Amino acid sequence: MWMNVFKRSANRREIEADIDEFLAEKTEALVKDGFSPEEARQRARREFGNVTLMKELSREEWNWRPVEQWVNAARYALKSLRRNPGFTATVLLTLGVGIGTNAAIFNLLHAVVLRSLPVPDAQQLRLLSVVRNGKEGEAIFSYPILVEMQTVLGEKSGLAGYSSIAPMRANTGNGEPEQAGVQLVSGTFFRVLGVTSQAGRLLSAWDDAASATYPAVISGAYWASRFGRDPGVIGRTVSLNDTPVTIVGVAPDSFFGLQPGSRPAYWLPVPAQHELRYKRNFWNSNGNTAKPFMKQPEIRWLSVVARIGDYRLEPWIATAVNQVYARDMQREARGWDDPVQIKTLLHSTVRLNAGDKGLGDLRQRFAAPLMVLMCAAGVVFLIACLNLASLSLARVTARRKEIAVRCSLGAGRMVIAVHFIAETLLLSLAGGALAVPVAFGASQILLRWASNGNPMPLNVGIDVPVLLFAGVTAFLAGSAFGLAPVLYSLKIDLNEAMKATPVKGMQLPWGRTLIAAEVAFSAILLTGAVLFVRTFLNYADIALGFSPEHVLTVQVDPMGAHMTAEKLLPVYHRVLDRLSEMPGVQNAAFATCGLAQGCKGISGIRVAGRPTEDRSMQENIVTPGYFAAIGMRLLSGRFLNRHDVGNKPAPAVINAAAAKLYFGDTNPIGRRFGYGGDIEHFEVAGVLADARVNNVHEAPLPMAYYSLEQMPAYATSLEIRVRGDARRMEAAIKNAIRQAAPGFPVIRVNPLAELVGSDLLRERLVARLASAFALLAIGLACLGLYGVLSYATTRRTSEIGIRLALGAQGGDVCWMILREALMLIGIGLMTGIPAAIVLMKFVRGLLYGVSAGDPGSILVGILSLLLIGSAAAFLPAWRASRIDPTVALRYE
Amino acid sequence: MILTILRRGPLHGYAIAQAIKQNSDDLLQIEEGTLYPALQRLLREGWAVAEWQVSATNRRVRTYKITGTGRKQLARDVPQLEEMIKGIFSVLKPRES
Repeated sequence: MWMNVFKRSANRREIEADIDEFLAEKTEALVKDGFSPEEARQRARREFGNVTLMKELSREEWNWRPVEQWVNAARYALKSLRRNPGFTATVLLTLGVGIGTNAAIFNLLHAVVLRSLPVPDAQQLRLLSVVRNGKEGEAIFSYPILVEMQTVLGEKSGLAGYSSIAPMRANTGNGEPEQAGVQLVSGTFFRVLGVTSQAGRLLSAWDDAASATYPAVISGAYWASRFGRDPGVIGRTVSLNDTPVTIVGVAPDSFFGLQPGSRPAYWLPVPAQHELRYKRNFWNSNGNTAKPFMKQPEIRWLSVVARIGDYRLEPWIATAVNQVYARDMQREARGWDDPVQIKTLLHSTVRLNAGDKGLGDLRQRFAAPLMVLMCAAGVVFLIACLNLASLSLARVTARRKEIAVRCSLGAGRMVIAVHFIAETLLLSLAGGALAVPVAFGASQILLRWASNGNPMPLNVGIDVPVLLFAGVTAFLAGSAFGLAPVLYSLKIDLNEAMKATPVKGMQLPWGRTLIAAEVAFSAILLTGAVLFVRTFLNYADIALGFSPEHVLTVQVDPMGAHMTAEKLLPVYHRVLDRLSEMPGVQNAAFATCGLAQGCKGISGIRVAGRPTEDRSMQENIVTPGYFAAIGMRLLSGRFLNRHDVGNKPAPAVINAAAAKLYFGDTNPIGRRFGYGGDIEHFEVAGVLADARVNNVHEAPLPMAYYSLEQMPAYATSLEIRVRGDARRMEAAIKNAIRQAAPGFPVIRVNPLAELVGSDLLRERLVARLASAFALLAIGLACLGLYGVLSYATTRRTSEIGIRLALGAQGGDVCWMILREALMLIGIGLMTGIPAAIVLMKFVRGLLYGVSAGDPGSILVGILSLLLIGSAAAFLPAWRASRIDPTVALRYE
Repeated sequence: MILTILRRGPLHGYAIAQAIKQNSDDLLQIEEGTLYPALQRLLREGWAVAEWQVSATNRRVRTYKITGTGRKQLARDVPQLEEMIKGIFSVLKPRES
């Protein structure tokens, strides 16, 4: 570009010099012929013609190039855009906000669904899963099996095991102890993932051997937030669940492990399991969980990731891994006597899945809703673009005279088209640039909406794909609203346009089609939004089976008190007694499992006198006040009480699902069941209404509650029903616990309603955004409708004047305009509603308690669009009816 | 026309104008200035190249020289032009029959 400019000016100088030279030579020749110098000079100039013009023309020979043309067009476009600040601002704002929101949702979608793990050659990673009974599920392995697999594979493939992320009490020495996510990994973990440290060292294979203090690697984010990136942190000893560990290194900032949306603060080698009291997500068959997991092949607790360097080896690796797994399952099957179970075990296989995007929890939860929201945002933006299209059409219609003048003065149609294209390009570029900060802000807001409390640690920085997305969208939007005027300007009838008030051709071309399309799109969005809002409401009033309002859940870590479960019983009592003395507290109870926190212990039971195939029972061990504290309803029999000490058989309270499954229609009270050999250990004392204790989305499983008084255990959750606002009691309750049981570790206090509500984050996000988008769509469509109608009525002022002068009533005119609007809305609805019904079928999976083609929701959509649309049309219609015929006839 | 003249050898602006005058026996009374836009067009199309030289009269002049593509263009254009002129003549002087 600059080269070009430079060359051009050099060229200009050359031409000028050349022409001057010509004149000088001619003058000289003429002087030789006997003219006086002055005369010769004049004659030379005369015969040459217009010197300046010729110079200009010579220069222009070079000017007539596309670049020049575009630069001129851009300059002209800038000028004309500056002259229309209203138009420019509208377009820029629409583009900026529209593209920005779209890019933000795309950004989230990208982060959740599309982005690869930030490790080298992520496509080489494989996650191991198990196929059992034809169903594929998460696979967990024991450490000895992992080692066996590693031995078999040798150098051919890297294999690493990793545990779930467990919250642990971290005491770094500066500030209060806090909760931090800890993941236990095999020594090969970082090597297999190809991660290098940004400070100190990472874990390696020899860390799998037990040592005096365990080495810990911290995440980059934790290093920054907790230690202010202090390099002196290497070598420092901190305590996790009261076990000292030494920080040996820091992982890169971008590295978060294998699960997008979560980020452990600490990674420790697997031998640390026992001392850190890690007991999560394990499958124990005849092992002893009180002893270290690491040596026991009976306890499966590690997920496995593999790196396949050479794809040709993949089938071989799969076979090798399966052989080891088959041996493990054979050993497992020996412990069972149920032939069905044995067959299932022996037929389960390991599968290697692509692991480049990490674990799919977040993906499964949010991919579909984000996809839907992406479409919704896209449709809203489309409507906005249609509005822009009619706006720029209106503008080009208004400027037709100017265009006609330019055409008749000799501007080619192409030149004018180029001018419009330049204008559109400028607007799209500026709009796209504006969209980037909008996208960044909107991403943060969306992320906060999608998380409870503190935002999910998800990388939503704006990166190349997102920028690319914004660019492409800007371009598409530009062509959507910029192309129409270009085409239109190419076929303006000059004669017609030059007339002062043209008779025909003043209606907005395609304006009506655009409005009908907008209404159709709005109908789709509105119907969708109604369905999503109803889904959310349905979930929100689902019969939970307990009432979470006014309940505070205190997460505690009784193991941190270093006492046996038996010795803890008096501590529980002291805490409960102290709490019951507080005026605001109604009931309080300890339980081994909290609600809505993914604490789910399930065991196989045996029912006396009734062999059933599914023998699973979820269990929770609670103090007697539990049912009153969380508000559970008794169907028959009795709750547990304080006197259930030493009873034989031990009393159990089961839920309706368990009663139905194991005892059918017979009365379950007094029936017995048990574990292993002791088949009559428990006796059913009462039956509870089913409750969704695990997750709002999850149907209640068969469940039993046992008394903590009788079966001392480590209780991790304390449920307290209070009077009034639960949040306000938080500090007082923490204090009371500290007084009653000093040194009893409290981890966190949350209102139970909040914990339960976080299950509905997804539904709330979708309902909220879908409604927002639908409202936006309707607003935009109404704006478009209003604009087109006002424009049309203004243009028809004289016609309406004549009608009124000839005796038409104001009401007739009003109805005439309204009828037109209703027709547009009608056409829109007639195309939009069937489309909505078809499209909603695709989101069926996201709906709950309402069908995709729910007539009520569709009716709501139709009626509200009709109503809002008519309201938008009423103003221009009313204005038209108030036209004064005498003024209108003089309008021209 | 200019190309035809340039085919004989490189010339500078004034010389080209003189040559045209002579060739047309002063019949073509064109403004000499129009030569320059035409020359620029030749340069742009790559049919001629220009170079600053010192002329016989000891002036620093820009000399124009025909290129290979210029010659080819000339070979294409001349027959076309002749055809056209022939056509014009046959219209202007219809054969008497």
